[in-house]
Parts: sequence; C-alpha cells; structure tokens
Amino acid sequence: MNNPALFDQIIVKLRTTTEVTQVIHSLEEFSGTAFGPTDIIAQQQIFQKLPKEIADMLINSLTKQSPTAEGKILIKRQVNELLDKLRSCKSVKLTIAFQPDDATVSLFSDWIKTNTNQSALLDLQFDRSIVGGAQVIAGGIYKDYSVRKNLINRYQIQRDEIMELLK
Amino acid sequence: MIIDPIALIFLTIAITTLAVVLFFLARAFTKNAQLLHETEKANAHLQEQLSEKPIRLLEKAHEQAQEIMDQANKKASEILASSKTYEDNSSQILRDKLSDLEKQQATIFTKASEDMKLAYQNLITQIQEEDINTLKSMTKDIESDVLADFKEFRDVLEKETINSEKVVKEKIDEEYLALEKDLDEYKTQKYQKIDEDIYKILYRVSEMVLNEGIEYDKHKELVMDALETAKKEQVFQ
Repeated sequence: MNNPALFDQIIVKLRTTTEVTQVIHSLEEFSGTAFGPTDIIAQQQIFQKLPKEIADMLINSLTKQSPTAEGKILIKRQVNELLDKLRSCKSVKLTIAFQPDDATVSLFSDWIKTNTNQSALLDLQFDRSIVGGAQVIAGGIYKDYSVRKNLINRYQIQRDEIMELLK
Repeated sequence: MIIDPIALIFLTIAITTLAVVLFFLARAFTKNAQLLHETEKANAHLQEQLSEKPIRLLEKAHEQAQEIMDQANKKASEILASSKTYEDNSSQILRDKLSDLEKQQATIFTKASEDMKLAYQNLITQIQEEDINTLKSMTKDIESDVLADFKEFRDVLEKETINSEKVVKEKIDEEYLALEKDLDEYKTQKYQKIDEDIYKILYRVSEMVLNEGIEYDKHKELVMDALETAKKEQVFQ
C-alpha cells in the first residue's frame, strides 16, 4: 500500500484549502463509485476536474487497473485514509488586500510550507479594507499586520496632534 | 269505816298549825289597815297646805319687788344729782385742756410742717440727684446694650455672610463638578465621534490613495513582510 507516499506527493502540490476541498470532494465522489460497476473512464473523469498534476497522480494510483473485489476494498480504505489525512491538514489563514495571481499564491504557499510544515495549507481571504499587508491566523493565534492596523496605531500615537489640528 | 289514829293525830296537828298561821295573818292585816288610814290623813293635810302657800309667796314677792324699785329710784335720783355737778366741772376742765392741746398741736403741726418741708426738699434734691445718676447710668447701659447688640448683629451678619458664601461656594463647586462631568462626557462622545470619523476618513483615504497607489509587487512585499514578522513573533509555533 503506497498511500503515505501518495499523500506526500499530493500535499506538496496542494497549496490552498480551496484546492484541498476540491480534492476531498473528488475523492468522496470516487469513493461513492468504488463498489459499483467498474467504469474506469468515468472514474478518471472525476479527477480530471482537479489540477492536472494532482489529477494524474490520483488517476495513476487509484484507477489504472480494473480491480478485483479485494482490490476495491483496499482502494476504498486507501481513499478513506487519504481523506482523513487531507481533512486533518493544518492551515494558515491569510487575509490580504489584493487578488493574487497563481504565482503569488505559490509564493505564499511555498513560504508557509518551508517555514511551518510541508502539509500546511494556505487559507486565503480577500479584504480590501485592510489596505495592505496581511492578517494572520495560525494555531488559534491572530495577528494583524495590515496597513490599516499600522495606520490606526500611527493615528493613536498622533491622535492628540490630529485633534489639535481639527479644533 | 275505821280511821287510823296516827293519821288523825297528824290531821289534828296540821289543822292546829293552819289556825295559828291564819291568826297571825289576820292580826298583820289589821295593823296594815290602820297604818294606811293614818297615811291617807297625812296626805290630805299636806295637799291642803300646798294649795294655800304659793299665793302667799307671790304676794310676798310682789311686796319685796315694789320695795326694791323704790330704793333703786331713790339711788338713781341721787346719782343723777351728783353727776350733774361733776359734768359742769368736767366741761370746764375739758375746755381748758382742749385749748392747751390746741395750742400744743398748732406748735407741733407748725414744726412738723417745717420738718416735712425740709425733708421734702431734701427728698426732692436726692431724687433729682438719683434721677440724674439713673439717667447717666441708663445712658451708659443703653450705649453698652446698643454696642453689644450691634456687635452681636455684626457677628450674626458675618456668620450668615460666611455661611452664605460657603453655601454658594458649595453650590458652585457642585455645579462645576456636574459641568465638568458633562463636559467630560461630551468630550468623550466627541472624541468617539471624531475617532469614528477619522477612522472612516483614514480608511477611505487609504483605500482611495493606497489601493490605487500600492503596486502589486509592493502588496506582495507587504504580505511577505507580514509573514516574516509573524514568524519572528512565533505565531507558527
């Protein structure tokens, strides 16, 4: 059983919680067809909705051969374990003020994986009101490194001066 | 029928005894009847004497009374005659004595009048002096009373003024505190409003200026800086 290796391969390619959710949905759909009449092409089509590299990995691992009844059970178990692992992945929630492109998402994800955990995922949120920078939530800790927060801090420091100017 | 001799003897003795007793009783009765007769006679004599004696006594008393009255009249006439003489003598003496007494009284009254006049004058002088002294004393008393009253009035006035000042000061302090509280609340509300407005303005200006002004690479840089800072602050531990 090569399930741990499959998880490790997949998790390296997965960057965000959105992508993981898509994979989980696909695996759940696949799991629902595991004990029905075997239609390899239909099963492969389930994974083709995912990014190509991940889809190829899943197709090669789970649908290449027409399994026996015993093999179906093993695949089912493998899928369930994979689902459990994916569901238990830790994530870092990052709220930013701009819409990042794919390269930028990769940049942030790589940084997260490198500096925290290889299986760590990025939960990206978009909020223009923070102006710039980011709000970070990780392991139950919230930190606000946004430009808005910096402005507020600066305003608090210079509040009295601003008040004097407004009088 | 045969009678017992003994019983006959006894009967004879009893009859004899009764006869003796009867004899003595008859004799005593006779004596008593004589005594009663003598007594009635003496009684009649006495009654006769008693009916004659009061009249004689009254007549005798009347005679004696007449005699006493005659003697009394005679004595009274003598007394009146002697008293007339005495009256004449007494009147003359009395007139002389009255004349002397009148003279003495005139002298005494004259002297008394002069004494009284002198005493009255002295009294008036004394009263005048006392009046003057009293007046002076009264003036001084009035002056001291007025001064004391004035001092008391001034003290009361000062006290009332101080109390009034204190009350006014307390009232002003209370008003000032209330005003200060209101002012603080107003300032707090105003600050909150200004804060909210400032935040809104800052957000709006920041959004308008910075969002338009921050370049994409700068955004990326800011996020990376944020991640680095989070790492330094051990958010990912």
